Amino acid sequence: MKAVSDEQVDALTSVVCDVLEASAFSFADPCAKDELPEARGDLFEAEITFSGEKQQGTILLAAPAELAAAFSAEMLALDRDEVSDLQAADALKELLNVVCGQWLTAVWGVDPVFRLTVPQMKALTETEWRSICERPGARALVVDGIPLACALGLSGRATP
Amino acid sequence: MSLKMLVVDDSPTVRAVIKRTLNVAGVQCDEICEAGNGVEALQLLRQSAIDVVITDLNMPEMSGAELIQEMQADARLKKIPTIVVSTEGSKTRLNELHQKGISACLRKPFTPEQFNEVIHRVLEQTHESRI
Repeated sequence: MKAVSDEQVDALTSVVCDVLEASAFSFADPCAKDELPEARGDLFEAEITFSGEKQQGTILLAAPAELAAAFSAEMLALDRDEVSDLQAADALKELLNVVCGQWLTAVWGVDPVFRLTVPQMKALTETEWRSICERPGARALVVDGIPLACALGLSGRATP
Repeated sequence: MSLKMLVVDDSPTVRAVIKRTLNVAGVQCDEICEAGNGVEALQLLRQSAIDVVITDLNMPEMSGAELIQEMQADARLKKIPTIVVSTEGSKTRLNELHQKGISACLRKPFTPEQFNEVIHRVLEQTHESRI
């Protein structure tokens, strides 16, 4: 793996906040990793891979199921208790898809071409959740008191 | 003018958001059909008379770019106005899509106002071309 720069991760954090506000009407605040609220209930991550001449890598969003359900409820204009697990997972994957596209142009501009994979979901153990939060390319955020982590991993190629 | 639309996106969430935005924008639709990828979209396009296609690009099975290519190879389907709604931000790729004959592009995340502007512009062009 290639080291990610603070600027790249800062750009990712900024894009995550903007996309959550625009798409899920949710406000995320960056948070120090040691001040992140406890994650309760089931935990999930959505991961997407991008590849292009300039860079290859992955971006992920990790969150408790209740936060994914809150995003879905906002996007679909439903009450939280009306949202199914599938809808919650789909909302997190779609938000990640948008985050990835926006981050690529925020960092690399509009000239390079990148291929994106379809986002994949998986359940996380508490150990895996903590491990993601501790990664060098990860940032912690809080949405309505619920923790959210975003992380960037790069593999090879140049830096902007 | 009442229309039959096809919304193509692998995310049911996005399909629901687009359908709701069409309603809010006051677009008169007889029917809004849905497909989860290009393969499903092509089946629907070949079975029924769709007036406008709204498609994502990054989808499993068959991408939006492949769907557009298949539509362009079909004399009937190539005439259907197609709007790309995706995360794509590359000028190179967007130029390629315009050269393949798409009517408009809208980048996610979009506001209802942006969607409204694009859909009405494309519908006006469609209406004018039919007169």
